[in-house]
Amino acid sequence: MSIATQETTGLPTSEPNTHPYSHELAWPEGLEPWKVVDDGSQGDPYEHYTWMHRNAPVVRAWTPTNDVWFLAAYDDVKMAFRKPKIFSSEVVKPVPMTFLTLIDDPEHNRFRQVIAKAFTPKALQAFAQRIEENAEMLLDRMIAAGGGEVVEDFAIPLSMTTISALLDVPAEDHEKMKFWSDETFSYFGRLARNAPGTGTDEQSAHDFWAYLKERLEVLYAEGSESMGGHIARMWKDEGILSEQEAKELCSFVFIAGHDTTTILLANAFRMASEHPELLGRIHDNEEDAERFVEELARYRGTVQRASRITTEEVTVSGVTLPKGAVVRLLNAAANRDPQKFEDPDTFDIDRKTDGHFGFGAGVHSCVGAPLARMETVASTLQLARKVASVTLDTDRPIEYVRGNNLTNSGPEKLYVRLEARRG
Amino acid sequence: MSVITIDVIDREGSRHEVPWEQDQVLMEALRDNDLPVLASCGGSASCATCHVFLPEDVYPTLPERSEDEIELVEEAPGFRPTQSRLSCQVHYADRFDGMTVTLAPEED
Repeated sequence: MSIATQETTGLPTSEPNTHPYSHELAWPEGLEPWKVVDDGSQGDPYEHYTWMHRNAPVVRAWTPTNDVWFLAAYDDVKMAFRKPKIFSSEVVKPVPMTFLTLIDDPEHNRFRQVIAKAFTPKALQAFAQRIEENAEMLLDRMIAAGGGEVVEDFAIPLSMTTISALLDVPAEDHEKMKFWSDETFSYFGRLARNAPGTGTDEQSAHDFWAYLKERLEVLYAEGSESMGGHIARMWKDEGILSEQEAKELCSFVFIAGHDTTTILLANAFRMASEHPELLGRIHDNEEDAERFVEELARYRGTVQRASRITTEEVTVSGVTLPKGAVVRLLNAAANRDPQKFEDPDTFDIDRKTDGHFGFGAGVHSCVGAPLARMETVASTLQLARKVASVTLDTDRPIEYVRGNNLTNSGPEKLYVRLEARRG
Repeated sequence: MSVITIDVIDREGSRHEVPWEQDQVLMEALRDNDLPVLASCGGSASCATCHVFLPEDVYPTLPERSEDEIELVEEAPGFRPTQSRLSCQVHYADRFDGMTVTLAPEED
């Protein structure tokens, strides 16, 4: 591995015979050294991943408090996902909030049991029609306007309406819910990953939880059959959840349920624009929508990384990580590993996508994956049925998420022109 | 579509008659009939939360386990070398009609 020889950046030099820091590596011209907190150079991180696969499958990044180890190779990420006792999710102790991504078994299992049932493909069938109708209505509106901004006009309203219906938490005020949700996610990122935070995130999170507690009380009184009602009963009748756990779990489902899907939906439009032939193909063969979405999750999945901490010394790609190492599994990089996927940077809906990590893997696999798939397939089908072409608006380039959660990447603004299908 | 019925013993020792449809893997039949099978990874053989014990006379008649399954199931709580399978990897067969499946214990 080559060590950069450029002038010092004010960052420390690695000790002799230790793994070099990211800022010491010879990143090519135009590619900023990989950082823990994105400074704007990692909005679309795939060039970084390609370089990591060729040069540095294990990247150590310096921060003032601790080193952070990034794993890019498919086999390393796979191993780590499958060994939750060595790669623990409890990166902050005591666990600061009831977010499933921060908790190991057996507690993780207990919380997951509460919500998992609502996300099985069978349970989600009850929502299929509503999702299709909403997708159609939102797309019709965009087509009538000749296009628009996909995230605001389509992805947020669809994903937020869906997860709100599932939880039975009203989403009449999308803006307020989005604000609370983003802020709570930032608070989580600050606690879990030393993200910078917003200054108001903690207060907003508490406001959100207070709102959700009130809502859970109502759902309990009504005997609601929704997931929110179920969570409320687990709290009030069964004593399986405390009040704090109930409202935090509710917020976790809400945040995880819309933010990630929002970006995936936006990326579906993006890939339709980059591969104009696919809309016609899916129009003629609707079952190909599922292939499209699976490859989308591999090629431009939303969640880029998962946080872990090692409970013992462990070797990855020949590099020994100490016990207590703070690790990020770059699942989105693993999805582009040429050792696993041939020609990985080509979007090819005919490829075999088995084993991709678009929704993670192992015990912490995305519990909402069946819902995300359902929403994205429904949206892709609507696009294929109604739209002849999606064109990116060249005057208004993609703006990428530069969120405080340090997890998700993808479009925050995606301006498109839509041409309606005729006949 | 064919449907068979299997006998499932849950972690409390209670018995349940469970219909198993031809297009389901065993995990789906269990989960969709409200047995407490978490199946966290969704059936990709990357966790062991759908671990079950099959009858000792049925076990050797199944197709061999993949490397991925072997690694996970051998480390799963309560592993039994002649009975343990991940139910997401067990496909339907008419001959399983009447078989008894036991849910393996969860982590302590």
